[in-house]
Amino acid sequence: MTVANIVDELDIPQGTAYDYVQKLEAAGLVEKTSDQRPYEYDAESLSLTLSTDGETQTITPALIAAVARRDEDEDIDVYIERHGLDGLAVALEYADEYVDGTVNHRIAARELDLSPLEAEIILQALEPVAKEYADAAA
Amino acid sequence: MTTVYVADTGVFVRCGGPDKDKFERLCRALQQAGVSLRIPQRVYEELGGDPAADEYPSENIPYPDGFEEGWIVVADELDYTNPLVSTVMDEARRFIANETDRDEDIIEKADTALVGLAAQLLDTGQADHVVLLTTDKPAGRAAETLLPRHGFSDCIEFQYASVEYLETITANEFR
Repeated sequence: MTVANIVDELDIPQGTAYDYVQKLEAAGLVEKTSDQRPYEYDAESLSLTLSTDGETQTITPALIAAVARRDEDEDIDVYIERHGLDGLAVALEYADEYVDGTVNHRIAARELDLSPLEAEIILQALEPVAKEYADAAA
Repeated sequence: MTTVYVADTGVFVRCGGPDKDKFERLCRALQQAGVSLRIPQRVYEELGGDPAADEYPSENIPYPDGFEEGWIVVADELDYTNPLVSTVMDEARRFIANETDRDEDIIEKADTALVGLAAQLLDTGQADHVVLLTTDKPAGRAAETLLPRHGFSDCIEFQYASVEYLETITANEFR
């Protein structure tokens, strides 16, 4: 991917894109893969693990995508307000199962201590993310 | 041939939203097709059972309008004295436990009610074809697998209530 690709994709100014890419390169998160202009960059695969008070949470790309949807999907926003990011991470695991057909909203509700209605709302809201990242992993 | 459409909670959540728009489109599509939706008692309880869920936009589901207009009907109570109903629900419990890799003990009547209602509608002659509209894939698969074993081949159809499916029947965007 080139800086021009990023500018097109994200619709941000070129200077800003260069700035981001340089910072990401300095942090070792992207790598230059060509020596000639326009430079091409490749992203290193990323796994973040957060530990607080003995609780460990892996920040997966799917979780980042789910959180990013809170701006456009108010159901996700309300869920995060009520259950926190930890709660969303767990719900996302259930959404993977829901897409696979290995859970339904009623079992999810009992195991997550939600009402069946709330469980169905969040599972449907997370379904596109679960599908996209399941396809990416396949 | 009498086809009965049984709808699960997920169908209505798909149509939820503050502006009633999707719900009304579903209503129009069904009325044009002359179709009403039968919902199990359990689904009726789920739709109205959680005041805490009020904060979610998708919780805004004007389903009581559907009762008034007659295109949503609460189905009869499940008759557990009907041997077919109780047998199929028992089998469905095992089937769903297996599909979901859970212990059989934690699968409840709520999970098998859709399958039980389909069996009851077919057995009592209220329907000779049942379409299950649901997002509950384990229950949908259970119905499609188990009912043909009791003589109801080609009588049951599991339709996953996806966004795309609802867009198809309402001929409109459904986001």
